[in-house]
Amino acid sequence: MRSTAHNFIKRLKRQKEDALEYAVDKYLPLVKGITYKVLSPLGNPGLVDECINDVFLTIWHHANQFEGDTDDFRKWLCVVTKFKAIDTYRIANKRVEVEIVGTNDLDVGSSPSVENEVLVTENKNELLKLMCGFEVIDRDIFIMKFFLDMTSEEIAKNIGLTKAAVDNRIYRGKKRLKQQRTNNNLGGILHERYL
Amino acid sequence: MKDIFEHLNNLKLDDEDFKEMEVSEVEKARVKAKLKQSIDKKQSHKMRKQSTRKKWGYGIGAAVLAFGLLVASATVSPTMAQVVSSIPLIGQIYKNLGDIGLKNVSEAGLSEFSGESKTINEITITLGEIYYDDARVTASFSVDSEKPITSDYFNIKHNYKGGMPLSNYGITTDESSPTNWTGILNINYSSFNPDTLELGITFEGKQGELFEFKKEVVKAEYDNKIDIAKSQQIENLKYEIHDIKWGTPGILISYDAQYKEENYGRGVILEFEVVDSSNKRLKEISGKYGKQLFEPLENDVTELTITPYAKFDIQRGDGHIEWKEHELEPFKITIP
Repeated sequence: MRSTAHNFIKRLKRQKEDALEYAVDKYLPLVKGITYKVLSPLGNPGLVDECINDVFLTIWHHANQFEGDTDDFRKWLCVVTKFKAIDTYRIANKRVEVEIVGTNDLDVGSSPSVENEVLVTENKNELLKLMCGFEVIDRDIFIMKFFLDMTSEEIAKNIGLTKAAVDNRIYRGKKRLKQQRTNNNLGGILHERYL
Repeated sequence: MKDIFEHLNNLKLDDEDFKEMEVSEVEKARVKAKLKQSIDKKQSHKMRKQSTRKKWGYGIGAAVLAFGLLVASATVSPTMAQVVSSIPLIGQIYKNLGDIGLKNVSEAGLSEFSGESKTINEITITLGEIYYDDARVTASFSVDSEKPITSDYFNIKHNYKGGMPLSNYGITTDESSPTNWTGILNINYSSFNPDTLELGITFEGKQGELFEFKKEVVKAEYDNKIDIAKSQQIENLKYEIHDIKWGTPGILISYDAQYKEENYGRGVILEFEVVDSSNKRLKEISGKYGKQLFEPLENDVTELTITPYAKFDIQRGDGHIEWKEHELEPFKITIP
């Protein structure tokens, strides 16, 4: 049996290689477009190739974590690709991290650079653990903000809130994370960098 | 806990942000070939596991017999008991399962040792030797389980403070016993290269068990280094070989190679052929962009002849693919 639009997700989950080939045939233009947009400023085409390969290997290894139909798969793939490309960009760019240490850093409203904050590639798992208690919408906002490098305007547009509401949720979420970090004595969990 | 890829299911981002790019059939074929290579590499580890299982079947029998004799001796000899208690099985994995470079590193005492154990659901994982240098990172481990399990039971990942630097990685295992087996995690970072690495390794079991290990390891230096600074340009390919290092773990060649036209550019992986003064062609141990590691030199080697090769394809905007292959200028280095 060969993979088709109707069965390739099931076959991908069963680790059938023809399903991965089908995914490459169908989605390589999309994966390349997203990867190129993020990584082209680095001027290293080799990184784009590596990242594309990494994206398809990721969907191969994590296919069982996907839930949904073909339309959902396309959306998942887009987000996974952007996530991988941002991760690659950050590592290649060797960005410097700055740990949140003071309460002033939590003041979303007053920080001029807050829209440029990003989470460095380290400590994602710890951050995810801490976000377990978040409402789904807040967790989504945090993932978009810190893992996908999206601005508050972009997040607001995608989830149908105002920018102020998004900023407010980020502010409250960060305050909560900081509190949890203090309670758990897990120093150094949330890192931020200011560009 | 859900991982990031499960969380990403929830995000339905605006399609406008995601634009497709033109892709040729040849480019698709190239991506598929690379993926197949990566997947086959993992499967070949499984094949290797099966073949080592056969080879080790006899070895284990002999080891069990020898161990039985040792324990019997220990009951009557306090000195022998001391020897038995100090048998570092976990410290033997590089020697038993590693390539020649790792065997050497282990015998020379250059690897670091963790010894940290975690037990969940009657499965115990112990971290053994760890070795890190400019070429790669490797970590040995053992798995002891009440129930038979294979390496497929675990999703094994590495991390640096929670994030995974861009890398190729895989495992080599000896699963001769389904309840007590060993493995080596091999990591080739793409560009990540800190002097001190806080290596994190996680084993996620199918029943949700999460074994997390952390070990700080300092990058080992090679005993010898010759700066080469050899550069050459052939058509639009320009490369520079920076240096050659050698010592206990092997011989490591470092380079940069770029193919650049006005509107096109890419990094190129070079392949080196290294022949020593006794006309022996050295075997590659590991490779990645910018580095290629070969087996260690014999003591009597006085000279190496090194020939770089560049084999790559270039693809222009119209999707046209052109295959390039160059045998580059060979050169010699004298081993003092």
